[in-house]
Amino acid sequence: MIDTIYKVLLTIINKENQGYISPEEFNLIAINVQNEIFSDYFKDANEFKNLQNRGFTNRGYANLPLQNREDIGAFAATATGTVTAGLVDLPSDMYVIEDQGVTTSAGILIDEVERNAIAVMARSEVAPTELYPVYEWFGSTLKVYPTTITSVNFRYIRKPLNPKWTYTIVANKEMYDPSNASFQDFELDSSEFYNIILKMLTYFGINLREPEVVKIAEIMKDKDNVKN
Amino acid sequence: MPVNITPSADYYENEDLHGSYQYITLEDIVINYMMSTDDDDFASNVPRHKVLFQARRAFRELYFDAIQEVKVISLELSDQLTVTLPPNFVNYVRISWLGDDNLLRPMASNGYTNIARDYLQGDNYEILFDDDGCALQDDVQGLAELAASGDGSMVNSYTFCGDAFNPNKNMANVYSNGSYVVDKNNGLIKFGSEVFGKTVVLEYISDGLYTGCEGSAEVDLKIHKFAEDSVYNWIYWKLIERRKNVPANAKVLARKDWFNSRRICKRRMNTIRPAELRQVFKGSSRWFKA
Repeated sequence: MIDTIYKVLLTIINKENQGYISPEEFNLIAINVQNEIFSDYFKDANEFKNLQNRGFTNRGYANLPLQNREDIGAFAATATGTVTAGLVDLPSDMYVIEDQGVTTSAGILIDEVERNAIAVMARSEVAPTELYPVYEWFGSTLKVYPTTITSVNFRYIRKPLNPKWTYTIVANKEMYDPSNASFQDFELDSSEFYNIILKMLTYFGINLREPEVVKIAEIMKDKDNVKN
Repeated sequence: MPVNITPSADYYENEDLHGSYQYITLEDIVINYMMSTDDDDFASNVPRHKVLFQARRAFRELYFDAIQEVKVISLELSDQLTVTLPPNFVNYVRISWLGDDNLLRPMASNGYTNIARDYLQGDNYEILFDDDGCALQDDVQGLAELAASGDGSMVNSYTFCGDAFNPNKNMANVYSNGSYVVDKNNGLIKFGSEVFGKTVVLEYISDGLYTGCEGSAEVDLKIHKFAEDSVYNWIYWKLIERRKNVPANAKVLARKDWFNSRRICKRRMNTIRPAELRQVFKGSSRWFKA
């Protein structure tokens, strides 16, 4: 998908010799656009759930929360962490932990507790035990209670890998080369093709100081929003 | 735990499993409750420890009112005529002593006896204090001789006078088996000296949550399945009870659901079987000779 997107962009922007996008520029903006669309999935999740709760969604293709879960689920991952002195490092590629996504090695849910609740909770009758463990956020780690827990399993959504259009120079021209070890296609679903083009057009329009390109891209996005 | 039917052969071999199907564990209740909440539920987004806390409270309420699983222990009476309450004791049902004929004699609660503290006083009647500034009290140790005298008196306890005009006739017959006073603050049951040297049998109820040696492991805390729905209703009611964004009528309905489910639970726990009912009625027309 990444090569097609690059070519489409070049076609649109170079149509009237208004500029050129180098692969390096393209790759940088591609990362930004992918992350932007990816983070929107989570805002959509809340919006779609609200629609569902109000009875405004339907089954099948019209099931927006389901489609959203599919989009996010493409980045689902699992990992195991070792707890040392109650602390466990988060997976390095983690974007967000699933709701109820931290369990002990025995499969017992380790529930998230707000940091301000720990002190009182620890002295209450529901103080954390191995049967009802909890964790709190602690910097780039999780603090797990009770400290007798030694291993945890994570279910989480990972960050998307950075897209990279790789090439080889042939006759002073960049030729697409997906066999390069650092090659990485967009990880978003192919249905996001249109969105990616629009967003990248906006960024390149700004980069090229071409108000017309920006304007057209914004108009197209507005039309898209109205349809939705 | 997922529903996991144990093969019958394993069930009969493992004593721990006997009768276990009638119960549901506290852990299962918490998990089931959390699993069953919807996104648009008033009590969604509630952390597990709050569900657990309310589930435990529901256990207490139901064990006190509806479940009534009576525990029994027998203890030899100390020279002090006292018995320490069991660690999982909440309230007693009946206290008896065991006769030589192996028959139990139910004893009576002596509401007319007060358990007094005996402060030490000086020559001028001033209360004496120790180095920490605490009032000195009489040492109740060493009063075994008094207890053994068999005059029916209790250690450090006194009886109100004036009963001549209001004799406790209702208790007269039961007192023949002796009496006791439950000293809740000190965790003791004090007996009259009629039962000196006897073995007493204590029937009592607990709250179903004790995890010490006499109780169950945390993972095995359980309640009868007749009470399962009541526990869920309690949890839901209590989780929404103090929330500002929940309409009052939803709270009222939740409260009604709880009371109704508790009523159903009580009725189920006290199953009336036709055969047992007939048995009782047959006995009701029998003549007794005094």
